[in-house]
Amino acid sequence: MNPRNHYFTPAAAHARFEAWWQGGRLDRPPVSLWVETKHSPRAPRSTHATLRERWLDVDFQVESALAGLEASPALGDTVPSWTPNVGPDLTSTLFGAELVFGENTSWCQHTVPETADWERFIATPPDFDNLYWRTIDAMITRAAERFAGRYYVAMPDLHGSFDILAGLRGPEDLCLDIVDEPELVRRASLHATHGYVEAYRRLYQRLTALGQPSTTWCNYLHTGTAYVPSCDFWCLVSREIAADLIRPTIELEMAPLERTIFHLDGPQALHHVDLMLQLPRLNAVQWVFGAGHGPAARWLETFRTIRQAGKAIQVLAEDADDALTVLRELGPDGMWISVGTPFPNAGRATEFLDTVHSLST
Amino acid sequence: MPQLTDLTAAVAAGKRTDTVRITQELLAAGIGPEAIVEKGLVPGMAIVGDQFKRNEIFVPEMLVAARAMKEALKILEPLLATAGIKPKYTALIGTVQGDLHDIGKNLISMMWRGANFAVVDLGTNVSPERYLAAAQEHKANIIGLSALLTTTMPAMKETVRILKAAGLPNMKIMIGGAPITQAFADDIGADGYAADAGTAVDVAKRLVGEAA
Repeated sequence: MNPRNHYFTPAAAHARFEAWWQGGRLDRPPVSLWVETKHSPRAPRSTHATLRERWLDVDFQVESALAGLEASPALGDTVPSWTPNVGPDLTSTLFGAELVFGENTSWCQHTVPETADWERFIATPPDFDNLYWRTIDAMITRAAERFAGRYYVAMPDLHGSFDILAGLRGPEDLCLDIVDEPELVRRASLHATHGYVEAYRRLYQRLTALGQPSTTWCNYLHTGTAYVPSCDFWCLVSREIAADLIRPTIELEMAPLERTIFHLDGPQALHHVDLMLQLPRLNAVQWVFGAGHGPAARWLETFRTIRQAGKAIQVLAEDADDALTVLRELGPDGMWISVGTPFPNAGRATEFLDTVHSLST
Repeated sequence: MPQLTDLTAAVAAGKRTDTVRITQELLAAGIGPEAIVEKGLVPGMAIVGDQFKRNEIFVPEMLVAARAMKEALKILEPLLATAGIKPKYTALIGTVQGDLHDIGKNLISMMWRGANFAVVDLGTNVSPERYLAAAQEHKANIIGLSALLTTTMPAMKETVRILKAAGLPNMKIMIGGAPITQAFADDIGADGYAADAGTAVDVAKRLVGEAA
């Protein structure tokens, strides 16, 4: 590793991430950070009549991404990549969900109106020829062409079994179904899991054939299969329900993966930490404390619990000072640092990288 | 003959068949609908709220309890209306403009109903103007604003500003949601903040001047 080279190089980033996945470190932890950029004059302007048209316009999305990547220096281990995206419910669309688009995210219209309709759902195979899946596929093709090896195309955001069910049925009705018809929900959840696993397999093959490494919205790097298992829905349920119904689906979703980082989202998910840490294929945890609950330094005990279980952590620091506080307290082993607030310029970012390096040796 | 405490236990356990049966039996025994609500159903939902605050139960258990209470209210509400008995306080609730998430709002709505507030649910993506018009129409004592997205927190601030500027008498504003904190509530001038659906009942009662 050359500590004087502050720019992203695939070999150095791969090596740092591989050490991190294993719970250790090389010269320093992997660091993801961003620098404030001005609006690129190359970024296309939206003339779309609706948000839906804008979200699904492949060329517009890819050209916008390219302009953003070209305007941003890739420093540290920040993987220069773009994630083709139609919102968090792509996997629900495999089972007939329609998306409603907002400015920054999309929502899923519920398509399982009654408990008994889970039988219809279970009998329906996932549809990999739906509009949203075809749009994602076209985005991947177009981005790989336009990026021409300068930037990576990342794995889209895939939500797992119970988030698929919640998207199709609505979280409240799903909660009631779990109480009223747990075995029916179990069968439905396994059907959704198979769709999720197949979605990952197809996308992984697609991206690998285009020469892309494993990365995604959370910006890790790996040369084989890797992903971010998650379950937002489990915030709503007890440990008993999570262990009985949800854990088996997460284990199946993780089974094909060489590397995993669990996305643990929000203080309401913390009552499942013990269950999460028992997942047999778990390498790392991304703890998202959420807006209003920071800084990261407030959550040292949570980070320690995860590290003591032998798992690596991604620290989503609010800013440079927050990141350095956590680094000083916990040490560099098994730590990946992501700094949320962009640095004002590349010089300040490289100073930060130097400080992380000096605190790690 | 069953006792009101049996109804309380049935609601808290989410047993809707038992809740309906006991409600009918209490009515048949001459217990008035207002007493059944106040001394049977409301204490049951209070138990649920306390258990939820202590992480002893979670959303599915709260939902089945609310469903049981709702079944009982279907029987009791026509009788209450005939007798001219209304809840003492009215609460409005909605998710602020730009935000389509509704589970937090729905849970609080259920818990307020369980505490015998009349609740008007404005749904999601509610503009400040709709909140204001509804507050005037229903003479609301409590207005609840919910937000899940950090991007919609400015809409919450704007809604509070417009409602406060209207100067409606006896109206208090409560806010809540995943990114919301007491500090944010203080900053934007909300009267109360609730971290969860159980606490939302305590805060609403305090704001209307009833002991929680």
